[in-house]
Amino acid sequence: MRVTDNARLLAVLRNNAVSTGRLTTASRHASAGARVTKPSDDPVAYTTSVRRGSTIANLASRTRTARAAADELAVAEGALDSATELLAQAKSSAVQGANETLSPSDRNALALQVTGVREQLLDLANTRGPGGFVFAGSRTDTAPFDAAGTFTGNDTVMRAPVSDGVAPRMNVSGARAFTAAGGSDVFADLAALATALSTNDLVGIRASIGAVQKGYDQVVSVQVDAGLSIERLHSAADVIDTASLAVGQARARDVGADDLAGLATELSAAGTSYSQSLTVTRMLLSLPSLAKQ
Amino acid sequence: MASLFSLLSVTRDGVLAQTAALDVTGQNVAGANTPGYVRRTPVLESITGGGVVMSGAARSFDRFAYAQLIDQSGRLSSATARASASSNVEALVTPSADHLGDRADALFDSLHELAVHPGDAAVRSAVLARAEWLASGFAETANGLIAFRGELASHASDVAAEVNQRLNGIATLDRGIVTSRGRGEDASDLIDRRDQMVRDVADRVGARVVESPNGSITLFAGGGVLYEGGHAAQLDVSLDPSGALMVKADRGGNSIDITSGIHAGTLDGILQSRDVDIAGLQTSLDAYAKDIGDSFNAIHVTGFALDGSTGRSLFAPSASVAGAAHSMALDPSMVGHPELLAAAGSATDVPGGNDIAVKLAELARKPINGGTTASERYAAIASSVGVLRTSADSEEAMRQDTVATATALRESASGVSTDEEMIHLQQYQRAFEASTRVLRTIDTLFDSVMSIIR
Repeated sequence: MRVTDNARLLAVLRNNAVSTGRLTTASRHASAGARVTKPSDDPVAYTTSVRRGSTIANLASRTRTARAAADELAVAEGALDSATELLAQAKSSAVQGANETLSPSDRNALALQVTGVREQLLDLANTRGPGGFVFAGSRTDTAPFDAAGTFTGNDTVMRAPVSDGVAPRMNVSGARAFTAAGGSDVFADLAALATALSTNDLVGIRASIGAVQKGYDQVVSVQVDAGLSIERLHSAADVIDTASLAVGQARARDVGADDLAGLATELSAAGTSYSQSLTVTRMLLSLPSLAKQ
Repeated sequence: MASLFSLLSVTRDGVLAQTAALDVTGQNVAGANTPGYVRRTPVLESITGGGVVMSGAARSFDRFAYAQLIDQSGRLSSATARASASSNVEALVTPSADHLGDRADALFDSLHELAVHPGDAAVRSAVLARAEWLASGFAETANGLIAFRGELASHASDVAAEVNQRLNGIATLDRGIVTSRGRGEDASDLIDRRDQMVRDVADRVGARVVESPNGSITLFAGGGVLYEGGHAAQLDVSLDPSGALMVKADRGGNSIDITSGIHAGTLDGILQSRDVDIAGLQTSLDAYAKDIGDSFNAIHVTGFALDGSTGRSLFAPSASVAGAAHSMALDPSMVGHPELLAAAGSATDVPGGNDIAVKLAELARKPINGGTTASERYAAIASSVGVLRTSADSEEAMRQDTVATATALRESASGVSTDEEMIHLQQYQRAFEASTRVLRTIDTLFDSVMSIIR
């Protein structure tokens, strides 16, 4: 087969184009830190990477949701914790007031204390978190308790979408914590105690001790539920974080981002191949020719 | 019996023949890099009386190698056009960042936020912005594909115009070849130029050539005759009622649709890319847009806005699949009204109710209309784009190899080797010098004869 000058040069041009293409691809991979950056690099690996990327994004959303919900609950739990302290104070006042040796003026002073406790408890029951009134159910834009202690919220359960099919509760029931829906109307009981104290009604005072204790237990019960929900949400966030890490590693493996040394080696090999191609080109171009004699 | 005069005549013929051969060598050297040039070989023949004459210059033409080259060139051009188009499509549909999958994930992320803070105005605004971002992603991608199809249609028209120009050139040259050969003249230059134009046509629309005994050719392409007997067809590119490209060849007022017969050349690549690859992708994208829009709307219409109203779609409902991506947008009633996002499951649950927000957020992991998750749908489209481009690139690389082989074959038969021509140059130069030496000898002999007479 005759090999003409043009045939030789065309072969050289083609070989150079192939070497340049390989070097360009290798440098793109090395600079991106991954072997797959677009679908045509590896359609299967790319689509797997898209799926995993979406999973990672979803897991990140869920983690944030779980932590934000836990933060909301923590505000409510803190308020309930303060509420139990106030109810303990009220119970202590009731026990003191039940002492028959106490004078009416002392009972009156205790009545004022209980009234103060009730007002502080009302403030706590109307606590606002980042998402609105934490004990209002879904009516988060309105204070759930008025000055008379009447509940104007609802008992709607709000759930946080933190995993497939599992949505833990992310709000605390103000109704169950402070109203008769939970067994005792805490504000009515405190009002009754204050009235009994101010009127020297020993029978009423003694009856209120049990009622306040019941209210205390009711608030503690809701506080425990809130704590458990917080625990579940934190636990879910931790599990999701672990899962996200594993998916992230798998994704890095899919697109070759876990093998930077391999990418560097590929780039180096492509560079060597390109240099060799240029050397061969130079040699072919400098071959002696009869036309140069 | 030979005489000095007859020897003089023979030597003169030798000088003329070697000069003509040197002329052919010069032409070969000059034409070495001219596209389509076929090297010539001087044909030296003995003549009665002992002389030599160059009867012509034979074209070193290999019909098989040439046919292979134009066939493979046409297929390479098709593959190149398709690879180039698929590269653009890949950049349009699967950009490295902020692609449709990312935008859907961003919307789902904001919906998770809404589930936690259903009454928060900033979160609601973010959800609406993300929904609009997703919708605009579909619309931009669809518009990009529509615009690119438009560009490909313009390109097809340009290619057809180039083919028409070449066909006219072929007609002129072919008539010239027939005339020259009829007169017994050398038509090599005309043939070189005509064959190069045939190759140009093959590159653009694919071609097959049959040569008749008088040197004229018939050029077939797209299942029709584009040139025969001095009459060239003219291609016309238009759109059929479905919006697909239609290529017609008009020869002598007889216009025929050759679209389905085009299987090579740039036009074939454009037709495949525009009306098969991209059209298929548009259908997938439209179905994806409609399914994701309908899935969101089906949940959103059941929810309640902050004002207690209900029954609103999040995205403007699309009546049909066709054009759903292009027209995807927020429902007009939602534009600028984040408070109308329906996060609650009942009017009494606003503003803190999040049932619907949770359902919308959970759509990230649930099958949307069409059977798979939103992420899976995007991944499937990205996969088809990737497969499209890798197969187009592979086809192009394979055709480059086959064209390289065909080019080597053609070069082997018809290409000019400067080393060979240098050797021929020496060969004819030596023969020329020898002839002039004979002339000088004859001259000396004549002087001797004349001195005897004197």
